[in-house]
Amino acid sequence: MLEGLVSPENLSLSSMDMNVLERLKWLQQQQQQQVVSQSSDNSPELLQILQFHESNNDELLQSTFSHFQMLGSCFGPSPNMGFGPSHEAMDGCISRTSSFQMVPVDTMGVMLKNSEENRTISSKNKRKSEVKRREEEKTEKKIKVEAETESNMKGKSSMSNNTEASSDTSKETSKGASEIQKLDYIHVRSRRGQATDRHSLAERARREKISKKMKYLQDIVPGCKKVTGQAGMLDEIINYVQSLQTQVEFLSMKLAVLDSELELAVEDLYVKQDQTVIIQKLLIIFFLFCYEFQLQAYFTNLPVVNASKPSIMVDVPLFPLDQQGSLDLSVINLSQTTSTEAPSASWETQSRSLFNTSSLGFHY
Amino acid sequence: MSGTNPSTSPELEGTETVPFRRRLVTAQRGQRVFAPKLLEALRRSSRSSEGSASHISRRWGDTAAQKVYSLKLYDALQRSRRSTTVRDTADKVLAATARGTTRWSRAILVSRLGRCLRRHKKTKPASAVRRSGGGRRKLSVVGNRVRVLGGLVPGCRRTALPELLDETADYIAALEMQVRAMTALSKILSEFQPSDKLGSA
Repeated sequence: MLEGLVSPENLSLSSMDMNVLERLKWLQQQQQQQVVSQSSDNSPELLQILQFHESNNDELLQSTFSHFQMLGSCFGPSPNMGFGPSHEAMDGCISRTSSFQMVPVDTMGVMLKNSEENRTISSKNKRKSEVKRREEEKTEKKIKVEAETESNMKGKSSMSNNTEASSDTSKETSKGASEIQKLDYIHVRSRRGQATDRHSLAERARREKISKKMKYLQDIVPGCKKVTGQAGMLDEIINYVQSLQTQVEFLSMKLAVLDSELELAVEDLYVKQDQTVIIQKLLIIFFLFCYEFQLQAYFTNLPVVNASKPSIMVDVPLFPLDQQGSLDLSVINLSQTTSTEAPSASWETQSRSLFNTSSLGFHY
Repeated sequence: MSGTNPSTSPELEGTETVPFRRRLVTAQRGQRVFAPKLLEALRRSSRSSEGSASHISRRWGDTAAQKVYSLKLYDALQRSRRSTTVRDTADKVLAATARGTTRWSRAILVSRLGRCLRRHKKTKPASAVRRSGGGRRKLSVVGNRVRVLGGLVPGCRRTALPELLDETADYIAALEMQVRAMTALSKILSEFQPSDKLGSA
């Protein structure tokens, strides 16, 4: 399901945002895998990300969001780490992210998108994508460290504890550390014209769920791809369901007519030709016995000897109006096919063979 | 209807491994399982990584499922000649094939049950009087359509949009399978007709 999430996100967001989203998913993956790595800058902010992962709290969500703001503020030059292979690793890790964190991923992705946009607006850097990837590198490696420390601590720790621990491990960017330590309250900066309270985030997650389902329906319903917008798509879906229902009604009427004809003919036959019915039944019994023997000879390992009887019993009502010759033919065909076929005498396959050997070609 | 639906039996077997689900014991014995929410929840949890697309198409796209449905439909048509219309038997068998995991299938089964009882008892239907016109605020365009769609899918008149979309997807797949099966069945039965008339004459 997350792959389905990633692709529309990729389509809608810019390339920078895509990196951020992938980074987030990769962060989650790393936290779950608990890989060790070296520590570097901006560890206190990453701790907050991990806190968020641990507890899935909304306050922590906002704290991580504020963290990203600070990440954007301390933007300075950083050594170029090898972000190429890690990016590929991120791509590989995306598919393995768990699903229980889907909703926070959505919101986090959205928040990351917001943070990215804010960053671009504030910094106006030219080589934005590269710089951000470097930032992502740093943050990823820090998260690995913090994942270990978090797992050692086992549970939610307060922000003050984290700041202490992180200040021990952080190396430089005192700006970021000091900003973290000053933080006692959670400040959230919102995107332009969008609120970041719990309700709007939940709403946004809900809307993304709905859009995902609409996309799936778009694939199912033919002729829905040309229409854009939810109203048009719903219109098409309604029309399609109505057309399917009318088709079913039409077919049911047709079947009713056919059934009534069948019934009349059957009654006719049974009234007039009693002898043939008796002879038919005798033949059935006869073929049943030799068929059973055949089955026992060929399919000793199968416990479905009784399947032969119901298949032949179905034979009679299915072809109630056959003459004697055709009835024999069908039974003989059945025995022939079962003797040549591989042992697969389940109920379904026998009925399938029945249908296949009939003169009608019961094709699907 | 003790036969297992081949398209859903592997899923039933998959759920047997969970020890604390007591109702799975009945599934093990091959009886008809009717624990719809359990099954649905288990299915979702076991296949959380997949989307809703795959299991719906797998359920209703199989030719095996179509054959099972057509056999059941023919059986039901043989039994109930004059009591109900063909449409009702078709819907009933469709809902039975769904095994009651979806909302519309449960609604179909319940509605048939209610109607049979109503016919026997000959009492006024006890369904709640729906204040369709009054009390409804002016909806948006999308909201109107959602309501119409809820009216089309049986038993989903009041469900929220995400669940409604899920039900719609399953219902559409089921309807397509129903149409395919019924066309095949009608083709077979129509091919019988000319020879029979000749034979009975």
